Amino acid sequence: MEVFIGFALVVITLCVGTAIGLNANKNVRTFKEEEHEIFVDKDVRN
Amino acid sequence: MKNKDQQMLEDRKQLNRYGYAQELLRDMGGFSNFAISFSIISILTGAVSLYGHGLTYGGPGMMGFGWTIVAFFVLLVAASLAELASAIPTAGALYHWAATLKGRRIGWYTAWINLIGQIGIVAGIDYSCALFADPLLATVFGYTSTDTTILIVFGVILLLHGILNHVGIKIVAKLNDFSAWYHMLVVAILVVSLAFFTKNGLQPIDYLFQVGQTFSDKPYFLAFLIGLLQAQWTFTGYDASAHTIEETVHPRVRAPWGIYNSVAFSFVFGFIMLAFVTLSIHDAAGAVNSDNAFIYVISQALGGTFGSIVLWLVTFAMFFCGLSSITSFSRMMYAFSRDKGMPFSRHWAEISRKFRTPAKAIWLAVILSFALALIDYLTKILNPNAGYSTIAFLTGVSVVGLYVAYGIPIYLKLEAEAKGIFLRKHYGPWSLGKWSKPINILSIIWILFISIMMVIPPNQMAAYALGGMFIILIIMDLSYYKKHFKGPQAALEKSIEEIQRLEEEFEHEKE
Repeated sequence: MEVFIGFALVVITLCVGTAIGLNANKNVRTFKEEEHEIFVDKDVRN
Repeated sequence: MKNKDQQMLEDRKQLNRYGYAQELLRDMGGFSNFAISFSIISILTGAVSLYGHGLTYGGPGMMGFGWTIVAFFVLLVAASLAELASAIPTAGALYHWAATLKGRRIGWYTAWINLIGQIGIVAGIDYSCALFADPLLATVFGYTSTDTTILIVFGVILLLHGILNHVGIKIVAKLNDFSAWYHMLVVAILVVSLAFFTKNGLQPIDYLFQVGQTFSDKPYFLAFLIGLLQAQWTFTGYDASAHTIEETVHPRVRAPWGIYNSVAFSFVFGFIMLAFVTLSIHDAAGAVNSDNAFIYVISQALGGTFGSIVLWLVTFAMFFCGLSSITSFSRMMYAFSRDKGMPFSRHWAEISRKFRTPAKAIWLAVILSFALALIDYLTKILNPNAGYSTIAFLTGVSVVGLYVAYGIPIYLKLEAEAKGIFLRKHYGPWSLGKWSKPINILSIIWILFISIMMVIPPNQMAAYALGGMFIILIIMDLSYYKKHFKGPQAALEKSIEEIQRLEEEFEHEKE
């Protein structure tokens, strides 16, 4: 039983990790520079 | 698709918008940025030097369950930090993010807590290296390894790291790249050796997930939680990819990947390594009662010369890990000092015109790390029955210091979003989208939990040290910095002409 739970945890960690990575990669590819603004609390450079 | 020169010009302009000149040499690629964090996480340092700690408290199940549970949550923390690095790509990283999201004073505290964690991590890594190197050297040169000889070896290792970091980022970057491959290769050698040459064969797979057995006097559940220090300390220092962001080409994408991938790859390689090391144990009680459980297990499993070669390979991996951690530490101090957050800031913010490295900050990192281990050494001389291990103390300080510093900007980002200050348009290219909020919240919960776990007895000395340092910080803040520290916001007052003049000076020096 412990072996099953242990490997299930490993698989879940790998799946969650991969999903986060894929999601971030999608956002990198669809990023539009013209819609971005740098975050500074004094907005003197924009 | 931009070429490297166009990209570097754009990166420089991006940095200028935060009020900073491009002083450091921007030459690191994506792999180098990943390699520095992967080398600092160094599964061959953290997981190995605290192997005895994990085994003593959590038994074999610590390697199967403990490693995976910690890795799951650390992936979330890494994703949260990666997102911030992409949004605000400056070397100050945690400190700069906190100061920008909330205010200069919280930024100042974040920087100092990060700095304390960095002292702990450099001292912990190089002390681990000395713990392995000294007995091996003692066998070669025929002397007896003692606390004093370990301290001397530790000092020599720090000195070598100081020199290499001073000489240049190009050498260090090459060594970091080599270190990443080296770590993977040594893990492969270790795994193959254990798989085929372990005396008496490997244990059945159930052994890796065996829970309920502790070699400590604590109840198992509590002992398991204390044992998590092994994995939690291993997964530290990946903020290095953010601290070297001003030396990375295309940093808003490459540094976040460096942070995230270094944790992900360390999880996979670390799990495989720990599984084989643990399955090769045939005398767990003997291992936990030995001076160094990992050396004991490898020596028992592989024996003689073969075992010694593997231990030398592991020791060199620790050496590379320490080298990278001083790079990260010095960049963090450089960034904080250029905003005048430390005493004698002018010196630590100075860049060597010849090597384009923060030379004085590098040597300060060396001295502070040695001082922390020296204080511990003297404490043990004055109180020989202190009842704690130096490595657990150093690693406890670094885990809490670093993770609290990781948690502050993550929390402040959530707060700024709730107040409508930090908006969708402020995210960089590497972002988590609608997953951001739940991932950030889970990260903070984990950080709170782990910060308490890492300082409860038998590791209470770390709590005393951190408490003492925090009192000193409050005194420093109230007596001077509250009035005089202007934070990264002050850099924004510099004119673009002033920034460009400074950059031209550096270019001129290079020619």
